[in-house]
Amino acid sequence: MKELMKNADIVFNTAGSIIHTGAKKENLEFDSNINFTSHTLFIEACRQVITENPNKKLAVVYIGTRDQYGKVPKLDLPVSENYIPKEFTDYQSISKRAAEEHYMMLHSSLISDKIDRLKVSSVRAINTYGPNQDLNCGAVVPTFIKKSLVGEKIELWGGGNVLRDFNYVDDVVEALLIVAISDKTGGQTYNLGCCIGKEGMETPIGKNLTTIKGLAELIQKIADNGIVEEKPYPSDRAAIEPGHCCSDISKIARIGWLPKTNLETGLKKTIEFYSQNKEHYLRNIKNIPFGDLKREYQSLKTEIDKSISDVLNKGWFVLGENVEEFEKEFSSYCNKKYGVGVGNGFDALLLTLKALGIGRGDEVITAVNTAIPTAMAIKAAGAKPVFVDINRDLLIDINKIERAITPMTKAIIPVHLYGQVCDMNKIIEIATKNNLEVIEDCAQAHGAEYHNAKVPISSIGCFSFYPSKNLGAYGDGGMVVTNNKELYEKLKIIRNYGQTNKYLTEIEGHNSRLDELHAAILREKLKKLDYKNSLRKEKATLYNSLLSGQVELIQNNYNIKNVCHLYVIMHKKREALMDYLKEKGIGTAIHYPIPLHLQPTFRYLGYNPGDFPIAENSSKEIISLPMFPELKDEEIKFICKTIKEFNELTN
Amino acid sequence: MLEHYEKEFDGKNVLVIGGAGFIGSNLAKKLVELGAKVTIADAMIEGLGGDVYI
Repeated sequence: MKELMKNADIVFNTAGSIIHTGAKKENLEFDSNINFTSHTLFIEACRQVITENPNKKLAVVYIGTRDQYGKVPKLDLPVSENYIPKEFTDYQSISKRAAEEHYMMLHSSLISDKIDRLKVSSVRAINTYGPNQDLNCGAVVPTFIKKSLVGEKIELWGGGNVLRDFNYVDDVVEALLIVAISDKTGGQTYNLGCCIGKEGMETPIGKNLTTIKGLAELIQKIADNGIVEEKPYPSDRAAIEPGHCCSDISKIARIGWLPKTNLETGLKKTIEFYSQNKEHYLRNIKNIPFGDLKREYQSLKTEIDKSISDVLNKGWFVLGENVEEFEKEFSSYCNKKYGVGVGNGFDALLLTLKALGIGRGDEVITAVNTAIPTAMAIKAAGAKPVFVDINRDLLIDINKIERAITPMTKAIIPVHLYGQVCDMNKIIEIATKNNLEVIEDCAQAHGAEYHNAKVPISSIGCFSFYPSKNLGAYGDGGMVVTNNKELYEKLKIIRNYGQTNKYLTEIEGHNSRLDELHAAILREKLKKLDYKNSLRKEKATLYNSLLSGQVELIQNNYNIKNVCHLYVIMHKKREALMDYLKEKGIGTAIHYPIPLHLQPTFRYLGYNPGDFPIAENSSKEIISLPMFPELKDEEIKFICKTIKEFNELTN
Repeated sequence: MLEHYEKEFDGKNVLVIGGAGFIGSNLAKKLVELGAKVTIADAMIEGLGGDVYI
């Protein structure tokens, strides 16, 4: 940032200027980071650039917000720049005000050091609207425009009688330019708006002052679509009921700025822009895929493209530096000593079983609700899969494991399904008592934790890097991580034709290797794994809050960090709900529709319908909703609203 | 009033932080029209300007 500033004559800092993530406590850290901490760092960088470069001149304009006046009594309107807030409505306003004060202090402290090469000013924007605004940002104009364009009802809480002033974005841009270039604006703050003094409220410039109801009706008239409905203010929302807003613009008027765009003209231009670009701006509402790896790629494109071209330029593609480094990086991420990259998650399990000498005549216990590869790997190793029913959290029922143990049992494969973690203490206790290996199927649980420890909790964990996983390649990939040195060395031999040396084989092997290209991609993605997992968690928390009372949620009652690989709910009318969601353009899936004991391939094991009642019943009710880090909050809200609609229609 | 200042931006180096966002992108476009050399810095956080339509 300092480098960029060194070359600049003028810097506009618009970061975080208009987005209002709301008066919610859980957003406090995020809001303060954008609206305060980042500005504080920026201010410090400004100071350094000026003091380190003796001839440097710089004009800095901070785009603040009128929100920082807090809740203003009607009698005090319109507010001038020196108005002292009486009551703040949310954290954002507080951090915005604090950030602005820091900007002004930067200006005055440099002046008192006799440095006049830096000019800092602040512009307090009001409801700015116009083209290129995110229709889902929550501000009133884009929200109403979106509703009108899709023909949705505009609900006016409390009748929409509060007053608001509005500025078209071109006018705001003009104000920023004037403040940046004028001589006397250093250390000054300027209101935007449309009223000059008290009288201005009677004759607002360009009719840019209106009630929310007036705004809604105007937008509806211009868009020629939508319905406006007045509703009483619900008592539980009274605490955040907005007050009137209106700023006095006498001060900026004195340096030559007045809004030029009439509200109706500005709205016409804005609505025309969104109507012409409907496909882009309204696409979220039309089609929400179950997963979208294109969005994921777009979010990491620069890094991924570079890692791919680096490998191609290097010209080494199988078992090279990237695989070796990634094995080290990922095993250490999992807090394990060794990692062996293999072809896929299925092979991670199969090769582990083989390396442990588990095969013909042996039994391996696993959950009956898991992906096919878990059981298929047991079968491929020559051993017999033995299934155990699940709990309502859809993970293996630890109380039913012991009765499945026979003298032939050699291992337990607990599956950390959906990003959750099985109750490992009990499983490890059972395994130790019965002298069994524990091989954790971590294919859906990259980064998941159990009592603050990352999976695998036991000594062996098998991962898949299938594209849709929390850590996914662009094709197949897998890894075994372990603390068991003997197993590690054996796996390295087995994955490469059983060769101990080049062209010498001593044991039966496979060809199952993670390739360099995927290892390089995965190394990049590993850096972002915790961040992406935290996004998944945020999405799941939003789903939980919106769906509570509407559907049955999956919950654990012990200490885990769920990495939310899938977001699974239960619904009695699953098929009808899936059809309804599909009709509304929402992708869903089932994980998994047929419990393994009822799969044709495993018929030979002799199980019958009714053997695993919880798995069988839940398989008829579970439904996986879209869940990926790039899923938008607005999309989740739409999905939950659609589910609520379905419930109302069918009840 | 602004017309008087517009030429002031010709050839100036201007940095717009948050330049992919709503106000930032509109500001950057105007600056380019006025002949400024514009650099944009943006965190590209989804939902906070990281999804701008340009």
